[in-house]
Amino acid sequence: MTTRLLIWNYLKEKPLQTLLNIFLLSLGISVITLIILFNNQLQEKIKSNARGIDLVVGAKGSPLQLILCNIFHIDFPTGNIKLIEADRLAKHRLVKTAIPMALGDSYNSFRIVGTNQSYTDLYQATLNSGAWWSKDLEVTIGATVAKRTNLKIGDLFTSSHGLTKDGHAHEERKYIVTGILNPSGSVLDNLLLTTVKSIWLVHEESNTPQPITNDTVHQSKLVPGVARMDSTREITSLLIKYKNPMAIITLPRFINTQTNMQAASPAFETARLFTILGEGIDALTGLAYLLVFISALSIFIALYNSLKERKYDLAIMRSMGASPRKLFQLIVFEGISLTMLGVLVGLILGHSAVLLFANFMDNSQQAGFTSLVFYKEEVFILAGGFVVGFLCSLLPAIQAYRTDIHKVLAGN
Amino acid sequence: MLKIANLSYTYQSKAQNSVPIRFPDFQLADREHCLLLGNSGSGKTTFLHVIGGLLRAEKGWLELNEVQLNQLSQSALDHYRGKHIGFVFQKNHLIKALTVKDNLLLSPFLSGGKQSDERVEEVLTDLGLESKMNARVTELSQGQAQRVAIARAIINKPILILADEPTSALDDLNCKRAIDLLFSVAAKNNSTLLVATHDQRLKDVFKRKIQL
Repeated sequence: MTTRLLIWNYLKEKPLQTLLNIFLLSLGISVITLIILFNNQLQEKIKSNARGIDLVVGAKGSPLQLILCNIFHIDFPTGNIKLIEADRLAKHRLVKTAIPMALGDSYNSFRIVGTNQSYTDLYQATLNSGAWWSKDLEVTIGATVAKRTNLKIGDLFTSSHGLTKDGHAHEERKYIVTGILNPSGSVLDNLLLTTVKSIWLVHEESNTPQPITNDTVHQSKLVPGVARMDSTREITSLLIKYKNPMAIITLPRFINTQTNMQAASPAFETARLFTILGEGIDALTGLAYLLVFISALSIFIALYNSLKERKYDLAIMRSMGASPRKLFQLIVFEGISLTMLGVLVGLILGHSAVLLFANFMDNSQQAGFTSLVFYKEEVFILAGGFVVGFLCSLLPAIQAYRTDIHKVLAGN
Repeated sequence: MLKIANLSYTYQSKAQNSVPIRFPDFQLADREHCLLLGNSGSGKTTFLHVIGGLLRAEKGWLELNEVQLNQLSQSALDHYRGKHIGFVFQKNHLIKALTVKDNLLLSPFLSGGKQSDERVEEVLTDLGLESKMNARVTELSQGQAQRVAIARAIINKPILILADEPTSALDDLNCKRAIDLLFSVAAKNNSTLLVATHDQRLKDVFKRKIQL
């Protein structure tokens, strides 16, 4: 006989009540775990995807949309900006680097991005096989794209307009796959990368040929080989890195007031996004805590009621040499065992839910949530379960401590 | 082995005038089994609980095997009681969540003694219960349950067995059986038996009797 075995036998004596209490608590805990896992991974993802980008410059519209579209590639472009204006901005003395982005087309719902090599440098992307895109209509594809679409090096494909499969197909021009990236855990996994000029080429309908003006003397800084003063050309946005902290104050204001373009800060907009999301998360967290509270109450009531049935047991244990402290310990350990079991089941449930979700999501393109990471908050949950167990067994344990052996055993 | 002198106990009660109960003085030698006779309400159970350390007498002399029980600290008293005193109550008060074997092992566990499967087997065999070792308490008949309660009282080889009305709910045949059983386990474990009862059938079985 050990304390553990004794507690186990008492829990086993009422299997339904024990299971109900464990299940109730684990439900609340699993929701909290789920929120912790998603919130953390979402923040990590947002941080890593926005890393190295101080400012996104695009057409006027919603700044949040500009960020969602150009950094996370989950929204539609706000419009286009003139290459000539973008070029002017790229040469601004407060801009360290400016990466052009030309969006608008997709292949099998995966977005095609016209950009340059600096874009892949942002995420330290490496090639798995093949080569980087260099000529027009050459494409280097992300790891998830390769996995889901089965595109291989040398494959030809046509893009479609917009982000859906049934968008207008650009059938006149075919892209060719030249390389496949290693998985980086960033947005690059879900993108097909090509030159800015490819996007222009594909969009030129055959009846309105508009030759790209090649000018090797005054060529664009952003799109090599294109005349800087070509006023007909447009791109979607610029991803800008500041030269020095001064730019934080002056550059966005300059762009928003002095040009036809709009500047949006990823740090500011994602923070705003999180305050919007935060309210929903807070509501869900509140619900989860309510569940935990109710289950704690249920455990308390179960222990409290069982004490009435157990008063002879407790008195007999005292007559066999158990000190009042021992009885106190027994009840507290029983409460803590219950809550710890509930917490463990809850953690497992929470992680399993993320695993299920990740597998389900893998079929669409937004992969990258994993159930096999543990966050320090989960240690707090364990500690919290311990405290809840102690609190809801405290009163019953004090009663057990005060058992009047004589009265109980004398039978009055 | 047991010396009692000037012992009294006062119930803490607000409603009534609390009158101290004065217990008779007596001494018992080793294995001098004794009957404590008295009518209901005469304080037999209180006396038994005071002797067993379940209640504390505020005044008087209570000595068991040269240890003054009412001078011990609470935890020392709990420990001493668990190790050296066995209780048999009118109801058997077995713990339903546990098997017969675990009910017996609980006694050495709580008194901090050695938990021995052989001892459990030995005690159960003495009481004809060896087949019930792993049975649940709820599967036992009344008679079997009482024998398990007796087994639990003697598993630690106590020097004193205190029995409170062990036979009053039994018919003549079972009464005889129960008391014979108590005598035989007391003899086997070198324990002294002190039985509190109003059951007149036991009068002739004991040589030593104390009237309350």
